[in-house]
Amino acid sequence: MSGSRTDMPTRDDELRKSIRRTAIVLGLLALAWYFGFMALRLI
Amino acid sequence: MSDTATHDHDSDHHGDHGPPKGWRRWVFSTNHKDIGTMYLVFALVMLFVGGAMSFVIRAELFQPGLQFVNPDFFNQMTTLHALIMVFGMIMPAFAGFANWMIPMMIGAPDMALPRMNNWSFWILPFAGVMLLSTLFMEGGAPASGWTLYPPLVLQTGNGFPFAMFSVHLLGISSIMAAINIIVTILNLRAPGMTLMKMPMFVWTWLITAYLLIAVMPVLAGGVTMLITDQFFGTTFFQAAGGGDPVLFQHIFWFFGHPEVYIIILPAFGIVSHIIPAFSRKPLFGHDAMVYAVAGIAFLSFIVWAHHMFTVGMPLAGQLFFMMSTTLIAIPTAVKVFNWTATMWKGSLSFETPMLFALGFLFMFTIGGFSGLMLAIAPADFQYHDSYFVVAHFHYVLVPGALFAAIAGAYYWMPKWTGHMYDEKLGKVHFWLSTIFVNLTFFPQHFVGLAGMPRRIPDYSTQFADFNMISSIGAFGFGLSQLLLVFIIIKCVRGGEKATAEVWDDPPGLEWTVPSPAPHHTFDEPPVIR
Repeated sequence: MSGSRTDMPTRDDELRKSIRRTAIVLGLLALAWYFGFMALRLI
Repeated sequence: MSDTATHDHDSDHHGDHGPPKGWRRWVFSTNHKDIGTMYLVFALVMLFVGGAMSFVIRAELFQPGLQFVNPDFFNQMTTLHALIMVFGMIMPAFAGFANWMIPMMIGAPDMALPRMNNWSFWILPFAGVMLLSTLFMEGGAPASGWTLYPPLVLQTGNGFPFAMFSVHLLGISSIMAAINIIVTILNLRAPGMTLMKMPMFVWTWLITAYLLIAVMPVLAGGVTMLITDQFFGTTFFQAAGGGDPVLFQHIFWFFGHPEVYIIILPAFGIVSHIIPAFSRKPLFGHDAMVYAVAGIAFLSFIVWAHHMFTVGMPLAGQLFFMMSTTLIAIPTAVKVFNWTATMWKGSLSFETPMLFALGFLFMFTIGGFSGLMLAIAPADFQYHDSYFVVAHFHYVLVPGALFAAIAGAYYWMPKWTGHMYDEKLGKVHFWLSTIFVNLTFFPQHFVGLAGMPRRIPDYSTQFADFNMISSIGAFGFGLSQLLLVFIIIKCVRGGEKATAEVWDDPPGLEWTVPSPAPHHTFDEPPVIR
């Protein structure tokens, strides 16, 4: 990883994909919960 | 675990070059150790900012009558003290531990999302300054208490939107940190490190991170609704428009009670490392501890209304929340039992981290017991909003969470700095802290039971003696923490060289790397057998 733009510790593409997938799922869950929760009150 | 892992440091490709120089190292850092350090330093600064506010509170309460501040400013101090200590001090402190220790404990080279890690941290100082800036605005800071209950909080002056935006930012920072921690733990564990082989600190943070993602959006939603009520004509919480102010209490405490465990679970994790290390025994019942933490986390979602027994809820509601709350005693007791059993027949020694961990064990349990008293709905009608509640949660948070954080700092400081801290001064720090923290908070049980309400700048003369003792204790405790700063600075600047293991064969991968830990560790994952 020497010389990479960041210290991002990607060991291979598969790992990078898995990291991205997990992060996106969790982020979307948080966003959906935030908006969905307020929407519940509007119903 | 050190005996089951092998790691060849000579193969570290990154160990040979250091971090960037100057301010760029910190502002642009994507290194988990540097970001961890920044979190810890930020938390330490905020400890003194929030502590200064508690000095104002305790100075005013030193005697009955109004001495120094007007009642509105007093309430601004109680509000900001709590918000800063919770969101600006103790949560960032444990995030600092997570950043420093989780990658090293699981054999990962860094956090999985290093750029987001940088962003998570750097949001914090801006949010903190924005929150503090409300003190200088017309109408001052929010004076509603950290619970931000409407309609009271809607009476805040120009500082209201800034305080609300600050809470939003703090929440965003926490959610990003939580995502990063979960992604790191699920994806970057060293080969052979199964979930059940993970150290307790990693486990507690994994569960804490899920709690954060589950409840921070709820707080954010509640705060957003406060903003729309104030500025956009909605009436979510205003009875005049068909809304319900009690709804906010439910929303806040649906966040607020898991928040208590967000604060205390990492503390459990730290103590679960220190007690085995200084007992020279493995942690008793590792798996049971994991299930206990998971059980506490689950229960934390179904107990929130015990904070609002007096709001007027059906008897069935009171019974449900009373019983679910008392259930928490079971997994908590499992943990206290296991820590005690770890020490049983161990070869104990009492270095500073162990002293703080034992202080945690005893005094957190005192806070736990008063919590059980508060969980009993009919009794809570007497205790509610009294100083008994203040005593309860301060026992859980100060000699509980804060002592665990201090214990962790002493435990890992040699690994971070490469030097041993001053053991003698560390012990002095422990005893001063323990004496003064009890002097501060124990008398508050008595004044609370005698009927002294919280969040007031004046009180009946019958409470004068205990309040004076409490104030003396608070000043002593605050000043004692200057010793911690001195010890840290002394340790960073020099001292006896620390070995890689530091302690007597402590468990954990972090002790397999040199002290101080190189800027980059585990570029090649260690093998866990």
